[in-house]
Amino acid sequence: MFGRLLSRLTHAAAVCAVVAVAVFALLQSAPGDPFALALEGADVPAAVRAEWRARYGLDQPPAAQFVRWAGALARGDFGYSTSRRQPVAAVVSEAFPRTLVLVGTALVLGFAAGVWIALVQTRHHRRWPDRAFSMVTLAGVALPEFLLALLAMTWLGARWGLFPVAGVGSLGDAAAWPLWLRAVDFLWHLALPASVLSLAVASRVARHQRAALLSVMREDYVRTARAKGLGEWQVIRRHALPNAIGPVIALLGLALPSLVGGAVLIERVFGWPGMGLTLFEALLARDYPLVLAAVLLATVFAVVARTLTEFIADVVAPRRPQAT
Amino acid sequence: MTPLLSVEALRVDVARGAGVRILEDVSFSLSSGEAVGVLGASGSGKTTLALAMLGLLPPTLVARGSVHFEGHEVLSASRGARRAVRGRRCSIVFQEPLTALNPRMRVVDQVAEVALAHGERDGRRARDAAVQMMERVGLANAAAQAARLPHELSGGERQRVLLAMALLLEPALLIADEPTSALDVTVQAQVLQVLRAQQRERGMSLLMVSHDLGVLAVLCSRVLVLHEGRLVEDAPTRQLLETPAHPFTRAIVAAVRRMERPA
Repeated sequence: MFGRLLSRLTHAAAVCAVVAVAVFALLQSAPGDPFALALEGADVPAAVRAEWRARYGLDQPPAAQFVRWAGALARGDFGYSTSRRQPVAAVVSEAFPRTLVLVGTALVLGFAAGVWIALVQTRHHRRWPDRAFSMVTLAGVALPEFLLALLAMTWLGARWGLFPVAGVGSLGDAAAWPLWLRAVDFLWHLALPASVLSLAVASRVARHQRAALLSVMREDYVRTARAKGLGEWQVIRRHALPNAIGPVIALLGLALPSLVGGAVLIERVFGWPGMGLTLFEALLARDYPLVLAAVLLATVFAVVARTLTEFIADVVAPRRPQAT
Repeated sequence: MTPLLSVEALRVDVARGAGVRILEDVSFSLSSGEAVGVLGASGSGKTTLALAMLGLLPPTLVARGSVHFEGHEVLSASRGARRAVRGRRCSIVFQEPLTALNPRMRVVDQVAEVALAHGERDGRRARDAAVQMMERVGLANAAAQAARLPHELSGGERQRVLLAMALLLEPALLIADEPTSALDVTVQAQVLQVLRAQQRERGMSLLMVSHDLGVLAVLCSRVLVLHEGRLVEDAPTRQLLETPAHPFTRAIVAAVRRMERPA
């Protein structure tokens, strides 16, 4: 158990290191640098440009810059964001929890809804509830998330005015509201982006879970369960689901990185100032330290989440030795 | 006296396989306390017959005709009515004792579930009854084995768990579909003994499906012979062994005789 955990952690660390080097190299090879926009005008003397670049170490060879950056990181210093004009750590510690809430909500809601849909579909296999949900989940898988986001925003947000279209909280005197009201306000803002992301997760989970359930329903022990006089719901919940949910949990772990990727689009569309939006803006501004930190954090998040889901899948549905 | 189970003109077809018939015009009856064997080669429709008795046919098969059990029609019964019979008045033991058990559920819970499905509310009492029944069908060290998962038991032990499950609510009829064909000979003999004891003690009826005439001869007073979906013979076991009427039966009896007395 601990041996496996250790090897997983080593693996995770290696992945993060590779990602850090790769992203650094890509940033270096792209044209421009953090001061390209601010300083490249004709009215800035060359000496000023050189002085600013020297101050941030940008005049040194890429390898030296990388060593300097990695060394600072090892001391817990993420560097200084050139576009936000504050330490990277401060930017990230504000943005990361927002993404965590968004993705976490989508994950929990989407997983629960997806499994529930698959159960209903299996219960009514080849009848209208099955067919109707199949159409919905196909659409949820096939439609790009940003399109769903724009639709939700246009109708639920703008036309009917049920939900705010952007941001994490109301503006104006909202800062003076009592805590509970600000919490409600936050959830109200969370509703649309989280629902769109949940719908995407639920569709994928439902399609895989349905297939897994239907294949398990052909097993002999399901027939045994029916022969006991159990109702169809009990047969599905007690006998089919425990044998069909393991692979779906593992799949969720594999899908997490793309979920974080999807969150970038959702955050952009809904103006949700999480890691996705931060990364997007940092890229446009060639803000090296912030981009590096954001990508690295996303990698760590994906790796940790995957290790965690593998662990959960192991606990919920332990691998059993093959029958002799 | 009306028979416990009476089957009339039972036909089973593949739902969308034009004209593929699995059972053709099968009729027989079984009275209370009687042990009847169904003999047939593989593919003769034995298992389909067994499943039809409980209305457990997969949706790909369509049954017509009539199956009367304890005065009620099975084939046309509502889901709820069928469920009330299954496991309580009529149970079934399947062939493969490993795949017939849920690999992720403790065996005691799988046995106790029968009681819980039929009105028992107290989980602990259901489990106690389950352990008792597992002991009665000869599962050694039942109290300790109860908490195990199916793959931790041997083939014979798993078959006893299935038996305990089928017998827990003391059904009037037990259908056994090749209950011993996956077991080695000594375990086979033990399981047959348990079946006979249960049948004699409680006056339970038994419908036993097998390709093995020897196994049927041990337990059954009457044997039906199923050949390519048709019932070709229905005779007391002794008569069947001495003067088999149908060519298929004659061939089987002759084969068994040759094995018993090698030249």
